[in-house]
Amino acid sequence: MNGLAGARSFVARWARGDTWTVGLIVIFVLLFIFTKALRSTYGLDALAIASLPVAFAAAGQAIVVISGGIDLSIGSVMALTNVIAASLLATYPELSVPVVILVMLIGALVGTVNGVLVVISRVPDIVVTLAMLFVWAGAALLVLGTPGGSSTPWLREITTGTLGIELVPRALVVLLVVVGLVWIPLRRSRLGLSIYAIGSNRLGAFRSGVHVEGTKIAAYALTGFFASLGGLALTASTGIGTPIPGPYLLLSVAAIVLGGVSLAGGRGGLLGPIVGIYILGIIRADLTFMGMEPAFSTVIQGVIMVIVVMVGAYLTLRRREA
Amino acid sequence: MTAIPQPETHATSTPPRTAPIVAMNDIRVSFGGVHAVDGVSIDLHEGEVVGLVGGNGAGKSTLMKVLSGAQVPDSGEIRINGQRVTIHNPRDARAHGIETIYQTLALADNLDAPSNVFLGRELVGGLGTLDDAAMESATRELMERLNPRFKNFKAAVASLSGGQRQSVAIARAIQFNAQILIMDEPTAALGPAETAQVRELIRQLKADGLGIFLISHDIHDVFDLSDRISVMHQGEIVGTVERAGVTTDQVLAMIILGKKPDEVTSEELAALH
Repeated sequence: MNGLAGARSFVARWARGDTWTVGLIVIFVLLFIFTKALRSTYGLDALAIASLPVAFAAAGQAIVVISGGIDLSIGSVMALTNVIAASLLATYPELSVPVVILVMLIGALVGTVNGVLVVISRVPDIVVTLAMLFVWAGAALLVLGTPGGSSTPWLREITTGTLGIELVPRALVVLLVVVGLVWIPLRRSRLGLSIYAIGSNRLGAFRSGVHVEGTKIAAYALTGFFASLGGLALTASTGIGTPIPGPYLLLSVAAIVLGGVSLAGGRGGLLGPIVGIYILGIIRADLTFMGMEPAFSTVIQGVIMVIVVMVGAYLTLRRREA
Repeated sequence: MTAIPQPETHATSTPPRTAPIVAMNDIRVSFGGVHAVDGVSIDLHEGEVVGLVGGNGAGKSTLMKVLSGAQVPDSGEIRINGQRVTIHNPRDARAHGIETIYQTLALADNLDAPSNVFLGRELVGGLGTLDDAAMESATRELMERLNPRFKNFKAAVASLSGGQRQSVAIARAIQFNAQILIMDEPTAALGPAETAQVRELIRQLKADGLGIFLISHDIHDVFDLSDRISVMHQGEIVGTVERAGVTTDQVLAMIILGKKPDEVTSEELAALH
């Protein structure tokens, strides 16, 4: 199959199958226009840099949920890779590129450990990764007892500001390029299909000859890899390492629910959750600009999520009946 | 009504007794203390349909899981075309030309028909990417033969009807030059028209020379399609009979009483009615 036809059929499939994501993008554009009306100085770059760590987490969480699992340790893995990156960059500032690559490998390795434990123990994913949440959080504290370390200038440079016009923040470009480089080839590979297959019908996939266990481990490894990118993004945006995990686990789950990934597995993509993160972020900004009290604004965010997910479930039901 | 091309004659007569393509000898499987399959021997010839019947828990599905690689037996040997083979998982079974159509369809609901047909054996193009175009056109070609009314090649199979889903399951089984087909309750979830279609298909596959093990609760299915009928009861084979030599009542008696026709007294037979 030639590349152009392949690309065309991919885009066609996406537009046909992923109306949910298209709808989310429309909602986001409307929200952005509304935000501009509230405060004309508001730029996409602030949203993009603030959303970058959790957007990587959402992408990672989406992969493992599509495979039929869930990774509760994703926030801890982000904290762990964040402090490893910050302390290594403080000690070896001249080796920043190898350090960044090493941190990515550590993320993939940590994810592989999660996956192997899930496969070998046969304990439900949610239990194993809950246990690993504590293990990796403890490991982060062992690496760095208090917030500290440092970043490297180029990490900050590639993620701050915009490329030319204001609507193209660097953080968004980095996000889309990195996720695209990993996800698009994966989606078009046997492994990608296997990830959807085991999430859709694990026993059926096994009976069809899919390597269920290897696929599961690979999915967790990819999630760990994306978590490490989230950790690196934290290092870049904060300039230090913080050993206490942020609220990224719950945000990543919220984003995939909003982004059209089925928690039952087998359905959804990565773009939806990423747009979901942006929507959650811009709603937060809007509520602040409108002078909403912070405590009340989290209530509103929760209510909006419930409404969006209910509308989604309603639309899905109607389409089934049609 | 169906547009499936009919074979010249419905070759339900017994095929010549060549060497069997499948011979399972003295197969045993137990779960804890329960002997699900207890020393069963069964064989299958080219172009033959062997019906496997028995009550719930008789061991027929477990026996077929052994052949399809979903269950590793405790002991016993399996010969394919005379060669002794070991089957540890579904991939091994497929390598020997054994395909299975499960009662609970083993389809990945969120994937489309071509992805399901090729799942586990995907076609890849250059750079290791999936060759969707080739998989779709092969699936279309296959469906032309199996179910010409099947048009929905892009939708997730969750949205298809029971008959269409069964067509996908059968397409997957025969796509890769299967020699031996195991059908576990192939018509259980289907309406009358779809059942007729599947029966027609089984006759056609048989005419193509496949050996088919047919597990069914429906005694009419079994009588209509099988050359021989093996009856299982409590993990053992009660007997294997030529379809032409028995009545449905005799087979029912074997299923319920666990005895061969000549061992059943007329009182016992009368008590069944």
